[in-house]
Amino acid sequence: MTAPETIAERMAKDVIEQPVRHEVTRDLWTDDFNVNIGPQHPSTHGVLRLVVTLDGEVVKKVQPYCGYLHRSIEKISENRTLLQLVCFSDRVDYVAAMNANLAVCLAGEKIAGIEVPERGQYIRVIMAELNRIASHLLWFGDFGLNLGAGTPFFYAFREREQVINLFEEVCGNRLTYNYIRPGGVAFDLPEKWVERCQSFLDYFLTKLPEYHRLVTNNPIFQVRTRGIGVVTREEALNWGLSGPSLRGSGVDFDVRRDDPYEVYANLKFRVPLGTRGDTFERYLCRMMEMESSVDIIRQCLEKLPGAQGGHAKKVSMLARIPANREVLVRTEAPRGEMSVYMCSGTGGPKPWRVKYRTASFANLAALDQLSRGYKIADLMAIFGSLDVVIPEIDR
Amino acid sequence: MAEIMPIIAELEKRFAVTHIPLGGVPSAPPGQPAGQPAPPAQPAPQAFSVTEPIVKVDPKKILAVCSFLAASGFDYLLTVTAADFPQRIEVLYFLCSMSGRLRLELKCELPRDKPEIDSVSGVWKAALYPEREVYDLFGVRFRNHPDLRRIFLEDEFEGYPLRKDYTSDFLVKMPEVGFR
Repeated sequence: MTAPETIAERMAKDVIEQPVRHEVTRDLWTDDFNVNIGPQHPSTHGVLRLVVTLDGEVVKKVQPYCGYLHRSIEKISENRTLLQLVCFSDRVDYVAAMNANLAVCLAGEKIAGIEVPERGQYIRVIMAELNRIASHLLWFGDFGLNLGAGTPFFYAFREREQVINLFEEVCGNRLTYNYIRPGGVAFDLPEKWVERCQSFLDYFLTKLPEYHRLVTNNPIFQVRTRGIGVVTREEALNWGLSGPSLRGSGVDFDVRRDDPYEVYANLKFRVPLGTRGDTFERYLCRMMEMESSVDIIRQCLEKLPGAQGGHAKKVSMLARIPANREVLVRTEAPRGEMSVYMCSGTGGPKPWRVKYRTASFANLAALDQLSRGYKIADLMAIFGSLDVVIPEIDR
Repeated sequence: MAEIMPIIAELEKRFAVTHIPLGGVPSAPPGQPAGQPAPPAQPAPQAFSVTEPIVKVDPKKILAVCSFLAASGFDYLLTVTAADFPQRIEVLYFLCSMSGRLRLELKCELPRDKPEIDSVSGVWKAALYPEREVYDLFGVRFRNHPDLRRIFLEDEFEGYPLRKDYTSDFLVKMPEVGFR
């Protein structure tokens, strides 16, 4: 295991002065002012309503109102067989549907005792990491938009398009893949796909420095993100932040490395860490995660075992789940930890209860804590840095 | 790396909890073809988890147990959720410790007609939203929760949709054809 490189090491030349949290005690008091943002605000990544209490320009309280996209996926899943409920997980997190597929399939396999051939496991990891890159790219473009920068969006989508094309070749879909299934994956890799994936990775690594030149080293960007939305290590743990938002605060935890599922135990990769836990470090964590994802995919493509066609074990449409069992599977999705709890109750082809523990839901809860004391203009920067996807909150 | 068993033993001593150890698909005994899970020697009396050690807690003691666990290193609450059964509602707490990488599941059984339990949001802030969700979808009241409102559904909504006996005109049941 390589020693994690802290972002502080990388950004050693730290010259920009840190802004401080504003104390809401001043000589001149203004009345509290409530601003309603949403439910249809472009920066909210979907339909989410925030009611912000302001004292002048300073945020005193943020109250999120969610539920506009509640589709009762957990209730629907109780009435579906293991194979049928996978397609609903696509809709839990449509930006990273492969990762959501993977989480629910792992839960189903663990509870029903289904094994996956090694080739299938490697293909799953490749897809999950490609989807992580695509998801982080979408977030990168959107984060730029949140801060008023339009260009990163087009840069990010240029590369994301190529990942989506790779997915389309594999499974025919561009957004909701339903590709990872209990027992393996739906189809094996098409001819020459490995080469095309490799050439994408080479191309992508040449583009990453471009992003850093355009955004990371931009003084305006740094002034708007450094020292904003600070969350300490203890607060981050107590609020249940996860994924890059947790690692930005210096908590060295990644489910892929510390509680490995699939073949992650055979792979070596870096887990980027922050120290200060501000918006900028959460941003850098995600940017550097894309590099480690490239590393992981390259290792997987090299090691890819088995022959064409050995990608899945046949699982019956009505695969039965033994009674009185439960399982909690933890996976690292792009936004943070996605865990699926499944309980079999009386047994049979359908699970008794399915619960998605999603990172966006936990991260949104901490928004109030993160943005108190900062200016309202920083609210969207903080919110964007949490990488929240609304369907994942509401489910 | 710290071990989970001493903590569970301490919990059993102090709070009289019931420990349900990890289970799983038993490995095939010699003579039986591999791949087919062997039937367990005796039927499991209660549900066990394939991944987490479960500790069954008396609902009255949940706050004391959680405070004790938070003090002994469980610094991260993954989520709070519930499951509805014909005779009971189970409220579940998934904990882990970042330093020792321990995992633990707490389980409380509540009566279906008036489910009430103490909120643990004072121990872990991470419980604030999940407890609201459980209240919204299962109707479990969390005492001393600072902001117990419905979170996904509108305030006028009647009933608790994730309960098994919930019916509504909007709810479409899958036909049972093919499931024998």
